[in-house]
Amino acid sequence: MGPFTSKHAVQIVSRQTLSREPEAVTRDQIPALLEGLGPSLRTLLGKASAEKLADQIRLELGL
Amino acid sequence: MTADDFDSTINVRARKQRPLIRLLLLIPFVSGAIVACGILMPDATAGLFYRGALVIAALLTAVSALVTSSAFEKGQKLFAAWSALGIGYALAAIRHSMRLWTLLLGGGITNRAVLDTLLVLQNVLVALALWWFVRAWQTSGLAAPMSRRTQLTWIFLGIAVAIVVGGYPLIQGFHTAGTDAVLLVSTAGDMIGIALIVPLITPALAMRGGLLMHTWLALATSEVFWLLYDVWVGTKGMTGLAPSSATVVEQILRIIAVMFAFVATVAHRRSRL
Repeated sequence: MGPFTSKHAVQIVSRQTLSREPEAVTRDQIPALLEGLGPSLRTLLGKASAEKLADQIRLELGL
Repeated sequence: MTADDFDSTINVRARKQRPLIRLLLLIPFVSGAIVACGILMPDATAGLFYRGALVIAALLTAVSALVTSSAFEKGQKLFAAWSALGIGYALAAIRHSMRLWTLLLGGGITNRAVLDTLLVLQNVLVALALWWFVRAWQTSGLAAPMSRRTQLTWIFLGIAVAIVVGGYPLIQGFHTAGTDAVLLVSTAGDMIGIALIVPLITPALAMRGGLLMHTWLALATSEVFWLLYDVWVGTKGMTGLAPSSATVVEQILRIIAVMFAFVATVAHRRSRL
């Protein structure tokens, strides 16, 4: 999605879902953050690709 | 490790895809260059050549769009958008094939009502597709909020350009609605596409640096070339160019417009994991 939209997306979801700023999101909260990003990712990428992306992020973060 | 040290495999993949996508962007211009060869042919042969090129371009775009749509579930806006684009260009391929058949072999389906119906459906579907692309972005939850004033400014600007470009043929269509109802629908479809250029560029700008940017950018560029095509068709008589030269410009613009739609379909698949 590019750096601008990615930052914006994380900001929106962290504020709405976790009620905190992106910098304050803890490692344990990342799955919830990814869950919150799900609908947007599914809209733009389709379900399979959005799930792969979320899985890849979890893998890379060791979650 | 900070975020700046972390280079995910996703970023690595994105970097690898960028040169491929940049190559994709050359395809429409290469297609235009191929079509330009028609200027070297006798008129009758050039007519067949242009028609054949259009059939191939429309068919490629249709198939690619439908393949891209398969990644989405029914009910999703991008499923509808890619499907509508695919079916629209499939109808264009069928229509141009019918004309090509008639030119090559004579006979075939020459019924005006059939050809006009295909044209009308094509225009409606492509316009709908573009609308759904815009709505998909707007409802994704990612569109940065814009002030109402800015939104309205862009909307009116888009409509103004569409009216300037499409107004004259649309008025002509109204006056001769009996014989030019198809011109009316075709022009209206073009005007919708033109009015959506800015709403298509907005997500591309928002996603700059990302792979998805290229999809919306290619769709917007396709509409820009349809805009140039409409302007050319409306003004070519005033250029003083020989008919064959004017025709080749028209055909180049048209094929580039279609092939940018094709590029959008491929770019979207390349941006997915």
